Amino acid sequence: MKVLLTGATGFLGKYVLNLLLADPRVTQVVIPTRVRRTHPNEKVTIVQLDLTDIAQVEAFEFDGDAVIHLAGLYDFSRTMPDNYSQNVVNMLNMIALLERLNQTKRVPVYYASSYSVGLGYGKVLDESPLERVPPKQSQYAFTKAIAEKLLTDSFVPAFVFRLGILVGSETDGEILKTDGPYEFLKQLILISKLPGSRHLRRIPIPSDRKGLLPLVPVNQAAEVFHQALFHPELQTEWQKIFGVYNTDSLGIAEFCEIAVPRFLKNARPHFIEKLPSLQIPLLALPAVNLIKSRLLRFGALQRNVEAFRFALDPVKLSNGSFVRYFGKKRISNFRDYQEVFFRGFSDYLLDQVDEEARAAGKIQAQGKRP
Amino acid sequence: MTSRTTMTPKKKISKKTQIKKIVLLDFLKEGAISREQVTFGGHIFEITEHRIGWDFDTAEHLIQKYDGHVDGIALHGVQKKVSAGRVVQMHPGYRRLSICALNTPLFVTDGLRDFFADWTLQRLLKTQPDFFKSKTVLFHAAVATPAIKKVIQAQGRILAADALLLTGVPKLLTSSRQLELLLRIAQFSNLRPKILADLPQVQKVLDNWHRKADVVYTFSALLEMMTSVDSLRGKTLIVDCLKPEMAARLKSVGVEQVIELIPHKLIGSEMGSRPLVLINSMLELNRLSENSLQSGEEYMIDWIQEHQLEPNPLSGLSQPTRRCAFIVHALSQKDLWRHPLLKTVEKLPKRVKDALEYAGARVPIVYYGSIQGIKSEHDGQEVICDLYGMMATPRQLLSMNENFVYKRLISAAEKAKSNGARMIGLGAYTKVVGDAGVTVARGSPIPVTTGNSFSASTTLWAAREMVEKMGMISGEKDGQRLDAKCMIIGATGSIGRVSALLTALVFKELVLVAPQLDKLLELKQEIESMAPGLKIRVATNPNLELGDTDLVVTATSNTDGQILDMERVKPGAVICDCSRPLDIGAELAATRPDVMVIESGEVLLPGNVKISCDIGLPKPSVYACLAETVLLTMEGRYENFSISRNLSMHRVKEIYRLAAKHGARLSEVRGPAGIITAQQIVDCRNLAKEKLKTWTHGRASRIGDVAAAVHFEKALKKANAGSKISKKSLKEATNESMKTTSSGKKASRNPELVLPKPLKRVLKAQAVARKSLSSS
Repeated sequence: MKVLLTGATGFLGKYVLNLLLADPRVTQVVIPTRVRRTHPNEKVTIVQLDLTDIAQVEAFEFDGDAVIHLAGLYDFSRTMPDNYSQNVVNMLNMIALLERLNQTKRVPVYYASSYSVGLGYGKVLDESPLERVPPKQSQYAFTKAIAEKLLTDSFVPAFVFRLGILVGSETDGEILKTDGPYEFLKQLILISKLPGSRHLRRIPIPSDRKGLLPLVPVNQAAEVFHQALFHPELQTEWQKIFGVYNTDSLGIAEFCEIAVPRFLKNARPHFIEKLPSLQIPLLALPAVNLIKSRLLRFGALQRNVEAFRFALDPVKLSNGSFVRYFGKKRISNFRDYQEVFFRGFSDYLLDQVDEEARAAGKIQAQGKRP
Repeated sequence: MTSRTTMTPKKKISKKTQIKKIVLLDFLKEGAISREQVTFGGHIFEITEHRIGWDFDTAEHLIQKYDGHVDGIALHGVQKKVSAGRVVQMHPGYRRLSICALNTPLFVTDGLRDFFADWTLQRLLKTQPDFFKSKTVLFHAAVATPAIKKVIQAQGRILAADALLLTGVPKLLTSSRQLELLLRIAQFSNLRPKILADLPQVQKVLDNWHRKADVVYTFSALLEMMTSVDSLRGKTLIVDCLKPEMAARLKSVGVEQVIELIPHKLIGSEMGSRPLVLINSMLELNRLSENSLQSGEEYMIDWIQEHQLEPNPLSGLSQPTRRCAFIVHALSQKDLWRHPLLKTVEKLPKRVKDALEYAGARVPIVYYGSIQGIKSEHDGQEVICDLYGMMATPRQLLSMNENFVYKRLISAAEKAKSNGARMIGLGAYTKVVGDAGVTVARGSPIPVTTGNSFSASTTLWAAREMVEKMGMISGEKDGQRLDAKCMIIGATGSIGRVSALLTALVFKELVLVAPQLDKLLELKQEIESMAPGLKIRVATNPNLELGDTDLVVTATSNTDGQILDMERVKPGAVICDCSRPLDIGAELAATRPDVMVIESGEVLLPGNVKISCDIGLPKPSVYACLAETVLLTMEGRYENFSISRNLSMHRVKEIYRLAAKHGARLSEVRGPAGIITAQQIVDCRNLAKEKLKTWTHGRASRIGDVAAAVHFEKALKKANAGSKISKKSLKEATNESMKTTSSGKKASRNPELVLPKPLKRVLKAQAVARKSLSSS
């Protein structure tokens, strides 16, 4: 099988690529990149292609059997034009390519969407086709949802995987980006640096406490794509949507109970399910909107526990194989993994901040770690 | 397009078919992309719609991406130009985007939308020139509405919500100058319309402003953003187009009328649900691909004509009930004492009654009663007419200070408005006093009408009916006209004038009678120019011509004395008495049972009409002037329809058309003694035929005033010969005949009243003089 793999240089893409290269059924992996690259494996063919460029995609020829489309922007600090270009325009061009490819033979696409496409109307972790898209304020979710809807509205064979929050690999805990819950941890650090923060008793969390953090280790997510490529049930289906997350994921409440005291010793999380509507003077609105967007970045997740739909072979976790930040605790299930992981990551973040402060010579390390 | 989990693959698109690609950037919506193919003008278009909201950064990015790769980029929600007064500038957002597209044309809505807007408003103002007059028009986005100029020219009062909707500042703009200032300040922003759903405060302010306006001019996209449309209740809405759901929503809250600027035919077509900018862009791309030599505008006009697109008619979203008001007053002292509380006053001495009459005229106008159950046969629109009573007789009204009367009438209008009335009518002498409603209309918060247009209309309606029933005119029609003679007494008054203009088209011979010869001559010249073959004469004395006149229409403001000599009326003639109080009372009419005297102006309104008070007519008949007020309300035509003494033929015909449309009809024809039955008509006709056998056309009985009458005769002769006559010589002639006559009495000089008796005797002598002159 010849596979086109987009986003191969990204966090998830690297893991997927390794799995494909290790599989003898995959004869060639074509990787489009914007800049010139090389890869030592002879199964890999790198082509210079910008998926957001219409002309380049129109000119691109591919005679493969499947497309795994992981390329996109997952960076909350980037602007809307960037998000729109790399998530939406990218998908429009991909669809044009797929329509062209499917004129001669069936070439399915396996697309990495996000659980967040259901944000704002209670459809997080849902597996039904999108009827609407999240509010534009959540730029990532908005653009991912538009991209997913474009795909499912098209006439190409497509399998959509709404991935939970990618967390570190179970084997080595590697994290490429610190978003989602990691972003929350960073916010906690910022709060802990404020004068008088040790006196804080409550930290407002704009979320339903019963919500779930749909986590999935990156290696598990990669395995999903690998297995989907050859899954017999999907060979005759035309389009389907899957949620990919682990049901053993920590609830939001549990996560916050772990995370908050790590940074703010005397504080506990206080969940606000619905923000009150205030009569705000018109001129103050921009400032209020900015604060609101920062607070809401963490999102409101709905409780929707379902069985993990995609049958995987059980992954055995080996003892003592984590990097030093995670200690040597024996991990027997995913829950333990998460606890250790987040505690360890918190320590890691604190170390990072202290190092920066020492380098700047401005402040001394604050507080003792439990 | 709907998502599905399992679907069949699409058919292959033939590469031979050239498909044009258009990217549509929708600045007014945020949401998923839609893709579709449409066929337009024989060409296939693939349209990709990006709903990016008011995001110029992303728009810029997308334009750069698509530039050179698609055939056109259409911008929905952004226009090229914004203007206020004399300031015209490019929309800052458009300016920014236009420099991004180097190879692919950018399209906006301006051209087509503005064309349809201008055309529709032009058509509206042609049929209803006073539509915007004295009305307050609130523009949601005045800077984006070139049609504002038309509204200003049509004397509408302008309010603009631009400051609120573009900057969030709750300041209502009331002049072009303020709009200019806003435009100069805001040129550095991207003029983003505030999303009303996100800003409840904006909605609240806008609601207050809606209540101040009579007409709201907006865009459908802005309307969709509003969380509530309740404040549009009772308003007229001007909008580019309405979706059925929005139309239903507006109807449910009670919006009075809607003017949709985009032709229904276009909205109803398969392209109707798409933004207008798309049609604009497809038209232009077709033109370019056909290598047409026509300009864009010419191509567009051809397309419009080919598809027979036309402006929409005014559509009324009927609400359960509309309300109007009408002012009535006592027509004589006797009417005052008919009130249950004042019945005993009738027995009091004359001095006391006169004093009470005087005092009553100074009492404020009060709510008198209402007419309910009026319902249009056309669309079921219901109307309630509130009656407000003025305890003033015609004598008192004419003697009071005009300004005092105006104030009373205006305060009645204010009271009526607070009770929900949309317009008010002036009955009987309230419209005769002063300038016939002009000053009242200026000060009134709601439109005013005197009802004279329909009075004139029903006059001729009733007259025609009776002439037909009498069957005395046996002559053949000479072309379009009846071979018969018609006389209009009071021809220079408002009703008389229009009656003259209309009968000029029907009768072969016409006589105009009024005291002021100069006005008569003006009218004569006007009629001659529109009816060249007509035989027309003028007279200040009706009696000279009565002998062979088949139809007499009286429309005077006489309160004293007799306006014509009944003895001289031709047997079988029909006298249509439009005046109130009547010129020909029951006693006088009874002296000639061979002459049919009718009153005009009574109307039956459609529906199960119930009148709660006594208006001097048998129920459920109403006066024509009252009916006009009701019909205009029923139609939703809230305008100063019949104002001033100059009635318009166009209006007379228009109100007649409305009457026919909604089902108003003449009530049974009444005479001075009551309803005229079929038997009475037969009896009258038989008597007339008998009398005609010996009829000698009447003769003058007094010869003593011949000398004085000669002066008048000379003047009349000149006038009827068509030559000009100076006012001075007319005055001299008048003065001569006004001198002491053989009876030794001086005549009255009041030009508004009918000729006094001494002068009448003088004028009778004219007939003798004329005869002697003609024989010599």
